[in-house]
Amino acid sequence: MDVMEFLLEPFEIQRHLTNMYYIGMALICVLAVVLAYKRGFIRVGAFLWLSSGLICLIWEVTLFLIGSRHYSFNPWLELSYHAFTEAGPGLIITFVTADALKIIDMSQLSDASLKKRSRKVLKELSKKMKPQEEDA
Amino acid sequence: MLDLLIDWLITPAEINRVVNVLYLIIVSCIALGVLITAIVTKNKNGIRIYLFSIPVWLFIEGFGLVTGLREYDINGPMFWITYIVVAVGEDPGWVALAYMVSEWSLKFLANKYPNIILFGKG
Repeated sequence: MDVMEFLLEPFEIQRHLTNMYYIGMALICVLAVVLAYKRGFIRVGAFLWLSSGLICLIWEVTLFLIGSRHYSFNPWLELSYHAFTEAGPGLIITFVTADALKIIDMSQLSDASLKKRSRKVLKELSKKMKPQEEDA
Repeated sequence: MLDLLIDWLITPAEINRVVNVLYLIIVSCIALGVLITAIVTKNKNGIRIYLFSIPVWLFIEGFGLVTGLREYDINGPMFWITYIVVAVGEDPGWVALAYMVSEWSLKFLANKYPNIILFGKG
């Protein structure tokens, strides 16, 4: 077997599931939203969901278009649902758990902290604007 | 009606991924790149979430393999290499990348467009 053959010899990673899985993912989405809301991580939760969903979508579409990914139902529908429900909610639950276990420190990204930082920036901006208005 | 719903719920579905050694090398490079970026930028949360995700994904991937929900159609050392690359590299890499993108975007918005962050009640 030459190097190229070794590198490109295909094998398959299969995930067996039932349609129940898709309902389960919807329930996990609800759980993730409730957790994010209760812990005050709505903004970072939304961004985690959005960024992971986009990364997952780009990756999954690439795999699908080069023929590496196969779905048994409606490919585009399944792919979109898969990308937007699998990555985000799991990620939010991971972060909430890691924060609760004090493995990571999410205090800087909590809603309260982000709003405080934004208000400070707004205050500084309005301070800068005032002398300019007086000069004018 | 209920029978139809139960039939639909238990209808088998599959998501398959055709991979090869090149694929495993590419995802390992992406994961390593994410981890190195987190280390270089001294992103403690990024490094910690990567490390925290390793046992989580070893468990999830292992649970899938043990229960038969997940299957690799290969045997020998490549089976274990695939398991390690997926659970230690690929999935934690995506988790850390998604976190770092979110953190950067939120801090950027809070500093440049604070009104967007202040939007809403939450």
